[in-house]
Parts: sequence; C-alpha cells; structure tokens
Amino acid sequence: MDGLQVLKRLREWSEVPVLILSVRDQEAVKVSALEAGADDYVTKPFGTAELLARLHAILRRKASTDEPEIVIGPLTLDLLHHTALLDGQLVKLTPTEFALLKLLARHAGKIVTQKQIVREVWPGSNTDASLALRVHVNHLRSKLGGAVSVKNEPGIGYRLEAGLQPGL
Amino acid sequence: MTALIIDDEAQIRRLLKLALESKGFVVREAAAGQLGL
Repeated sequence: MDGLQVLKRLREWSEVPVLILSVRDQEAVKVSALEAGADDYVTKPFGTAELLARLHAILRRKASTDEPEIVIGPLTLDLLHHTALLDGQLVKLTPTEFALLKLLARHAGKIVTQKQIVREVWPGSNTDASLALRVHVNHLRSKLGGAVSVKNEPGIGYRLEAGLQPGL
Repeated sequence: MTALIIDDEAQIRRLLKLALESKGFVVREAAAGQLGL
C-alpha cells in the first residue's frame, strides 16, 4: 500500500492531521495527496525546523476546528469514536455514510453543495460521484427515520434538518 | 501530543522520532502503511 492509499483509507474514518514526507516532488503527486486529505506535503531532503514548524501549524489549525460532538435534535455524532446516536440508540453507519452525515451536520440547516460533498466525502475521486451520493443519501434517510431529515435542494445540494416531530 | 511515523526506512523513522521527541511529542512508529492504519 503506498502513502496515498494509506491516506485515503485513513480519511474514510479519521480527520487526524497528516503530513506527507516524500522524495517525490512532482506537482501532480503533491496535488493528489493534498486532494486526498493530506494537511501538508514536505519533500525530502527536508529541514527538521521547517518540518516541526509545519506540524505545529497543522495542529494550530486543527485545534480550533475540532469539536468532539455534534448534536442536532435527537441526533448525536461522536466524532472521536465515529458513532451516531439517535435518541440514545446507536445507528450503524458505513464510513461513507458517517462522513456524509458529519459534513451535513457541521452545516446543519444550511445547504451543502453536491460539489462540496463529493470533494469531502470522496476526496481525489475523478469519477462522477453524484449517483453514489444519491444512493448514500437514501441509505442515510432510511437509517435516520424522520427525526432528522436530509432535504434535497434539486440541482444544488443537501441540507440536514431536525424534524419537527419524531417519526414524521 | 502523539505522532505516528509511517515509513519503511528505519533510519528515516529514527531521525524523525528523535526530532519529534525533542519537541515533546510521544512518537509511535509503523514500518508499513497497513500497520500504521
């Protein structure tokens, strides 16, 4: 497994900061690593001071955005353990469904565009993921019931809303 | 703060480990991506 594959696998479930250190300095390689979720890319040979400074910069950025938990009505997302609870009951989600729900939950009540979703949930993907997105949204809907709903804004994207009444 | 170093070259890992530990990181190592995950 090369570094890029490791990164992609990791990003299926973790937002942990990643710095890639590589001898490959072609722009395309750097771009694909960053698109796949790397926080920074340093080429060998590297200066230790620069490396440490870059690590600290990543950690500063991450520290300000990390929220271990998102609560929307009856839904609680535990970002640390990658679990979703609905009315206190564990909802079984695939890594992709969790990533999708997390993204929508971070912007609850607001529209997240299809493009943004594809970029964050399927990073580095070149294929048209809009069909896959529809399928995953439908899975999420059936798992969440009516308590929290994923609204479609046709042609734009999706919006997560707490339902007015459970079961509606 | 903990850092995980994934690299197949032991020398690179050692070098990074020393640098990171000197700055107070707790360092873990993996010699392959699969192990790192």
